[in-house]
Amino acid sequence: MTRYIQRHSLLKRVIHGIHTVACLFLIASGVVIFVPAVGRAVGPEFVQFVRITHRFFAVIFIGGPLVGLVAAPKGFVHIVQNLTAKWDADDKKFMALFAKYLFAPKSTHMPKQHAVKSGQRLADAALILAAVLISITGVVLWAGAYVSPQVFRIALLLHDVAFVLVSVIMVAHVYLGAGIFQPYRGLARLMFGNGRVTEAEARYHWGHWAEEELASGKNVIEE
Amino acid sequence: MAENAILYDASKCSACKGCQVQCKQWNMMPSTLEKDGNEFTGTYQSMSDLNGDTRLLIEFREEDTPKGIEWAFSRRACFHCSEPACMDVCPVGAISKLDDGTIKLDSSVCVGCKYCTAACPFEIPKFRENFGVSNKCTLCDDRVAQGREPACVQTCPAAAIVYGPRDEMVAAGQARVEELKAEGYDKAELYGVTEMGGMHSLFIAKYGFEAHGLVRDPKKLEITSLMAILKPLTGIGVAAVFGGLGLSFLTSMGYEREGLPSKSKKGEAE
Repeated sequence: MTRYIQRHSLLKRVIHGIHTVACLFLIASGVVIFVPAVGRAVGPEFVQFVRITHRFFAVIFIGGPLVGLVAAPKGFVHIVQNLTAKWDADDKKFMALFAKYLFAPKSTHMPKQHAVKSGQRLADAALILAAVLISITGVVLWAGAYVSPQVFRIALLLHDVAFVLVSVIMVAHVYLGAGIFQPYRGLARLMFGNGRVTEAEARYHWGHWAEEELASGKNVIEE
Repeated sequence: MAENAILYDASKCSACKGCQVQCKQWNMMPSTLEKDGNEFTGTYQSMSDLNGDTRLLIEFREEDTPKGIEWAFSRRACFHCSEPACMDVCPVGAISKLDDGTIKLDSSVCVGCKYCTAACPFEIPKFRENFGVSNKCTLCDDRVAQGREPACVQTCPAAAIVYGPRDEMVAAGQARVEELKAEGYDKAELYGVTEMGGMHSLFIAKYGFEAHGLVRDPKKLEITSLMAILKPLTGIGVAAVFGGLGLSFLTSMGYEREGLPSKSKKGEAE
């Protein structure tokens, strides 16, 4: 018998999955426009196709989380609460040790964490801000024929800035979230599997959260 | 191939708008057929600015002087810069520089992203909504290729627009400025000799650049320079993160702990 904790709901995993596909496509198609050499290499017909599909996936990118917000407002509040939770000593220690942990995980002992690790809170906040910025400026660019060139060029610059942020953060997010980083092996299952984490893994990654969950027993599954 | 240029002389222009009409006719750019279809500008000017169907616009600026009303006419169209910001930002290479210095926008390649309008310090390229492409003067490269003059040049009854080798146009423009100064128009000056690396649409400003609405010492917009920096910065940033995380992966290889899924059963709990 193994004890599991249900960490992510089906709705959250579905929205995350849809958002992942949309985000990866938007980054790939964005590169075609962002780097003129790429656009010129693939030709105008392909660029035009990419521009149209970029908008299609942009609607999904913006609409996905909004659907989640409407379908599960409490879950959305929960996410915000986790992100804005006050940092305790373990959170600060986690961040202080994180760089060492990345390069010497075998000899670095990380402190217990709450539902969302302090480092992930920072990364998620930056990713959400960049996503909001890229969404708003994207809508302005889409409506480019109806805005002044001044507004258009500011939106274009901010869209590019947000693109830089999203691209860089996404690389790190995938490295850790997909479990490419060896201590995080198997974590991809949390968002792309059944959303469950074993008791041992939960204790290792989110010690405080695991203790709370195991004490309450609400999301604990034994199989 | 020698570079060519248009030379517009505001001191000879009568603002008949023949060039504006001929440009539309040759390039098949429609104009509104509705009564008062264009907004009233408060002057004799047809519309407030260039638009998707208007590549050339004669502008009217009037001033009440002791001698009566003085008009400063301007020919607003692409200046065909030697260092065109629009060409730099075009993601599909729809904007190119021809051997004679003409900056051509090929509408069959344009994807209508409007980046050229955002990058141009004069906001010359305009979006042609019905066709979903940008539009601007091409110096009638199709006519020039057949040994003809641009349409606006051919039609000008006052010979206020002439076309020829750029160095000859510069010399003619400078000589005309000297004539105007001798006549008492001491603010007269020639626009486009050095601006934006040298333009291929020169402008004799009878009353000085500002009076004709010309931007003195125009530069590529800082915002476009910033965007140009962002591209390599993104590449460097992503490469640095990739490199750092690659190193992290190498140092984390062989990591094991109790309860960690085995490598042979990735994604499954032990």
